[in-house]
Order: sequence, then C-alpha cells, then structure tokens
Amino acid sequence: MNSVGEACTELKREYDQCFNRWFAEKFLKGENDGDPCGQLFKRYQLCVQVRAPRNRRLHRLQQSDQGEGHTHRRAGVHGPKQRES
Amino acid sequence: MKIWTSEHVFDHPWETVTTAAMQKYPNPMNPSVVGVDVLDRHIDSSGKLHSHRLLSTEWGIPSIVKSLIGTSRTKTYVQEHSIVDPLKKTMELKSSNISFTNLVSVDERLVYKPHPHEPDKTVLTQEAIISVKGVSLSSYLEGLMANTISSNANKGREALEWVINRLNAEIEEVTASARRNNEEFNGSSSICREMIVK
Repeated sequence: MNSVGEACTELKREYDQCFNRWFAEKFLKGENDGDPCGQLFKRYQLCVQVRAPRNRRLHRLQQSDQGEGHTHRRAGVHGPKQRES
Repeated sequence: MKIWTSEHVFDHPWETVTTAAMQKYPNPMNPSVVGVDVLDRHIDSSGKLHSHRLLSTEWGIPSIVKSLIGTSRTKTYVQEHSIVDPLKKTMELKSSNISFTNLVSVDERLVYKPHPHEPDKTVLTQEAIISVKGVSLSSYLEGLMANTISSNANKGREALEWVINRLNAEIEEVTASARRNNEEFNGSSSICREMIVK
C-alpha cells in the first residue's frame, strides 16, 4: 500500500514488514519485550512530515497527534516507560 | 442523523482476523483506498497498542476534472484510531472523515472479539453515525449513505477474508519451501555420509 506522501512508500513498506511481523509473532502472543521497528518508523515519519500533501486539516490532525500528551512520540512502538531510542 | 449497526461472524480465530485487519489495504474490494500512513503508534500503560492512521481515498473523478483542479485535491482523507488489547482479545477501530466535514460526517466504530461460544471464530460488531449538514433532504441523503455503508461493510468483510487467504497462502509457500530445502539437505547429507563411510 502506498504512502500518502508517495515518495515515502518504500520506507513505509520496510516499516510495515517489520511491524506486521512483530505484531503477529510477538505482540498478539503477549510478548512485549521492546520495539524492534523504532528506527524504521522514525525514518518513515521524517519522510511523511516533509512530503505529505499540504492539507490544512491533515496538518492539524498531525499536530494534534503530536500534542496529545504522549511523552514517547514517533519512535515506532514502545512501552509506556521506555525512552525514545 | 442516522445510525447503522450490524454484526458479523468470521470463521477464523481472533488473532488471524486482527492481523488481517492491520494489513487490510490494499485489497481488490476497496480500490478507492490509495494510501495509508501511520501517524502515530504506541503502547499505553495497560499494554494496549494504539495506532493512528490516515487513509487517502480517490473516487474515480474524470481525468479532465482532475486536470482542472489539480490531482492532489481529488483525494479525500479518513482518520482511523485502532486499539488492540492482546490480553482481553479485543480490537476496536474508530474512523471518521476529515474531508468535507462541513457537509457530512461519517463516524464508524468496529469491534472485533472472539466469539463467546466458539473460540475459533470472531465476532465483528459495527456501527456508523452519519450526519448530513445544512440540507433539507438530509434524512433522505442519510438513508442513501446508510445503504452505501451497509454494502461497503460487506465489501470490508470480503476484503478481510481475502487478506486472510493471502496471508495463509504465504505461510503455506514458506512451509513448502522449507520442506523442499530440508529434503535437499537430507539428500545431500546422506550422500556425504556414504562417501565418508567409504
């Protein structure tokens, strides 16, 4: 599936592969011993932030996600007490 | 305001359905979804996985119209928040449009849970609240939209079945390939053993 920012599709694909594997093989089985996909997610996110279409509502949605009070943002998937790597 | 609800049973375990739901796009039943991005993902203090995603959809507007208004403006966007609880085995998905909210709001909520009496099956309960604004025919239009949502819901379930079949086929392919490699290895190693014995 393509990214909304089309130039980010390859980075997204790499992240998706990592996440889907972790989700099915670890997370759903109750094993949550850390996120192996943090770096991939960061790279993909940087791309989307720069290249996603300039849509005001979209931008506000992204901004509101950033401000939602989660101290550990945009580092893939991580547990509640881990710091960003 | 119109509310539409439905319930459906998948003949697959909850883990299979949830895994497929996370990889729902692309699929041939929803060709209008052309892009999906993860805006945020994190695990909360109770161990539930939250994902905020953005879906972009393209509705087949004639190309002459696209060339007049510019292609980036023919996309519409839906935001989606999903919560997966691996201990309680629930997946909740809430979505709403962020395009045309001055005209219409469509809020959908889907919940996937294991069937209470048949553990290898999954129950999906689905509801949508539709609101068309500022138009005197609003209840008629809301009725039309409810029909569309209902037929889209059928497509959505077919889409999940398609994804589940695809994932199962991939697993079979990997298993068959591993079996072939194993047989070749056993064949080669028995030849080696014969040579050593001689």
